[in-house]
Amino acid sequence: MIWKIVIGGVGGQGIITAGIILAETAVIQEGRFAVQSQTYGAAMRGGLTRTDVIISDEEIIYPKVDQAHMLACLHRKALSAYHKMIRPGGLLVTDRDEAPALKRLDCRQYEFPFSAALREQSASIRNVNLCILGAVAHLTGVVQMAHLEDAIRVRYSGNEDALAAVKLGQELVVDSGFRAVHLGEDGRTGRHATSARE
Amino acid sequence: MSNATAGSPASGTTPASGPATTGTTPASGPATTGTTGRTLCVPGNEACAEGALYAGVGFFAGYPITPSSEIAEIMSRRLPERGNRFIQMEDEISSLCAIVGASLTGSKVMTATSGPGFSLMQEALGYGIMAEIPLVIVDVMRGGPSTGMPTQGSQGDVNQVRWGTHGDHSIIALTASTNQTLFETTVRAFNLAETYRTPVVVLYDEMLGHLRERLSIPEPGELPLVERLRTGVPEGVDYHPYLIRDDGRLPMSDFGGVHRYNVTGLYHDMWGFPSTDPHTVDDLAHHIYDKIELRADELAQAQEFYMEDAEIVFISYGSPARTAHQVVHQARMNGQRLGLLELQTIWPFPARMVRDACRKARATIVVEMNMGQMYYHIRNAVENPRSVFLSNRVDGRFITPKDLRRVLRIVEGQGE
Repeated sequence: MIWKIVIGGVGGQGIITAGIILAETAVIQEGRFAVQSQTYGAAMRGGLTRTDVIISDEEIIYPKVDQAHMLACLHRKALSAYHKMIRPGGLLVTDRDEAPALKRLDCRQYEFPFSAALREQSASIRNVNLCILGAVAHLTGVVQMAHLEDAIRVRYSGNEDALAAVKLGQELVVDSGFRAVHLGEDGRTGRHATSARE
Repeated sequence: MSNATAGSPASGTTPASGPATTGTTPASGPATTGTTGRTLCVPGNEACAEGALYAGVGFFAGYPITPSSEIAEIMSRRLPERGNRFIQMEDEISSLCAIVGASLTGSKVMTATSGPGFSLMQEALGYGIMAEIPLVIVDVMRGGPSTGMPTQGSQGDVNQVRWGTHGDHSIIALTASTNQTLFETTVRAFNLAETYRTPVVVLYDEMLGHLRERLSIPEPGELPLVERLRTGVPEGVDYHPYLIRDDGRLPMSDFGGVHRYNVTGLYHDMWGFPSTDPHTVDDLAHHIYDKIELRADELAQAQEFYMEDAEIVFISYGSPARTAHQVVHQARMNGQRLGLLELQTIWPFPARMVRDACRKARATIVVEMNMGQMYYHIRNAVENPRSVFLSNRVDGRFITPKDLRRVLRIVEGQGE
């Protein structure tokens, strides 16, 4: 089983941090294999940014994402730049207000109000990256929720807000009634492949 | 899957023979890193730094440069923690000079840079070769020439490593394609530097430097470490710093210690004093060249994938080898007989290993991120140079499986 995930947004949203946490969860908490890479260059706050994460039970040979099983987007600029990376029938998770889904795309689309929910709770919008990470983990099961929370605890020792943001992301998925997605043995996440993972 | 390593990771860390060669000792005491036995998820640059700490680096001088800066950053924190020294120098010229001096005093030393900084180091690199100083130099390659493309990968420094400094000389350069092998390669670089009293270059690209992946730090003692061979000549007895033993080795005496001796970049006699005596010059010129070139087979290290019955052989090194590995891996599922020889020692050039690998192959495709710097050496090494093709990229992008399949189709006469 191999998951290829791209997370996109703009500089300052913590996109790369989210990718690092996801990879750390798989490697350190779960003892599996992951590679994480990122757009690297003279980037700035507000500029496009992206991280590629591959998670697998086996050693990963080719470290780049060609076609992503999932694209998670926190900004419309990133969505229009990276939507072509989603493999046909793949998954798209976006922030409802910052990156409205593009209906024409051949993929399963999930919109969640990550930033609105954080604002509603008067929580820091800076944790929106962790919020989407909670949703990604719950929706795909690519890493276990408990392990993701452990990784967050290690990285943000004693920061309850960080943990709360991850749980909020998970709750948004649960509340929406979407079932978790099962990745078939052939790596497809086709429309008819829905089956509850847990 | 075949994953044969030609030579153990430690191969070549000890000379072929010699009565009193340095033994391998486990990492212990201050040489341990505090991370041994742990699994980390870190970028390649950190894997390299961890390898150096495992090997017992005691001094680092450097000047930060993208894409190698993380190595200096880590060293600036970790070395003082262990009671060792880190100095940020004013430039790369002084960085290499500083580690030359520190090495002579008895430390295992390292610096890290990228192409532009490595260019500035060439003069002192030659000094290190001539004065036979154990040094480890890391070059994380970015696009060149000149300041080029700081944030994108390349393999454009391959021949600079070999011939960047003037005069007849030889050098050892090692490379890797994953964090785990990069860690081991860095340890091996320190072992070879100490064994052969020579600068060793660890050469990899920006892609690997910034690729975060799993790294398991071995327990102390799991990888062999070569420690400095020191002279047994006591104080008050003449010590000849450049008197070559019959096994080719030169025991060192910590500079500033009990022996007074001269070190120079000029051709020198056994005392280390300048000499133009033709016999002395001829002996030294051959010594610094032969001690590495005549051991090319012993130093050659590579990983082989599906090579037993390969009809088409990829030869690659560094991160492009991962693309080639992916293509070979997939092709085997379709019954295509492809193989990969991933070089881990690039200098001295492993000519015999390359020739043997290509002997039965219909075609050889060299995969690298430059204009064919290794390609020409491979053509010279094989029996049928016309069967060697180059698949390269120089635009700073990662070589993709699609790139390789396209070249494969052309080689097979199937068009694009």
